[in-house]
Amino acid sequence: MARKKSSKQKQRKVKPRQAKQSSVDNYLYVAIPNVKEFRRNILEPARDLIDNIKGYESLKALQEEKKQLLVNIANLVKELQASVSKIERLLPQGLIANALKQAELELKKFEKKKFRIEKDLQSQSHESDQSIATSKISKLFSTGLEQESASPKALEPETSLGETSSSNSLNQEQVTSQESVDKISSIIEERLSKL
Amino acid sequence: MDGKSVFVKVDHYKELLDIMDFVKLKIQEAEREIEKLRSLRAKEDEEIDAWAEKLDDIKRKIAGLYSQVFAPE
Repeated sequence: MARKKSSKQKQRKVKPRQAKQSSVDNYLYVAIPNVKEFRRNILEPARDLIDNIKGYESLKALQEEKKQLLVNIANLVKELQASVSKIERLLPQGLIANALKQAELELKKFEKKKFRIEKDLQSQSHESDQSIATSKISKLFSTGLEQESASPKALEPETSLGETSSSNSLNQEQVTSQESVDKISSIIEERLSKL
Repeated sequence: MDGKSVFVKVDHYKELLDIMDFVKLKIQEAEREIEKLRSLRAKEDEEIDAWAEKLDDIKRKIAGLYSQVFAPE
């Protein structure tokens, strides 16, 4: 038992030694030449920090006030909206709707103009299509008559000629169609510029 | 309609006038509130600027202290 106690005592002795060593490691001696200035330098930031905390409080109060103001403004806007709707209800509809009607009339006029222009353009395109179709038909008829009038022996070269003529006519049609497209596009541009 | 005057009957015109006055008042109130909000915002900006300045000052002082204690010349 006596041996055990001695071991415990040894353990107790060891611990404070370790603590002393660690505290010795943290020590540092610094020479301060002007103590008063040093103290002032420590105290001033502390005072400034307190001022800053005060400033934060005042900022918080300002933000609260701002929130309240925003709520007030929102309520005012709601009241204004309600009163404006009341005015709309009480005023004769003719007065309110007058501007709307005028706008609608202008819109209708514009739509009519647009419709007329579109119709004109369509009729012009139809006319051009019709002229192309009539030219096609006349050409077909003419070739058919020529084929009928010609002898059966001379059919083959004629058919070849017919093919060439048909190709020519196709080219002509393409040209006419391109011209018509150009015309239409120019008309559209003119109308658009007028609008 | 061309140049001719049109007469429209307005019912409850007194009520309408009252509402108009109310709307005017409310608009004035809203304008005042907005002005207050603007001034508050300006104050807030000033406070924040002062705060930032003070913080910078504190930072500078602490840096001076640190240099005095831990890195003496």
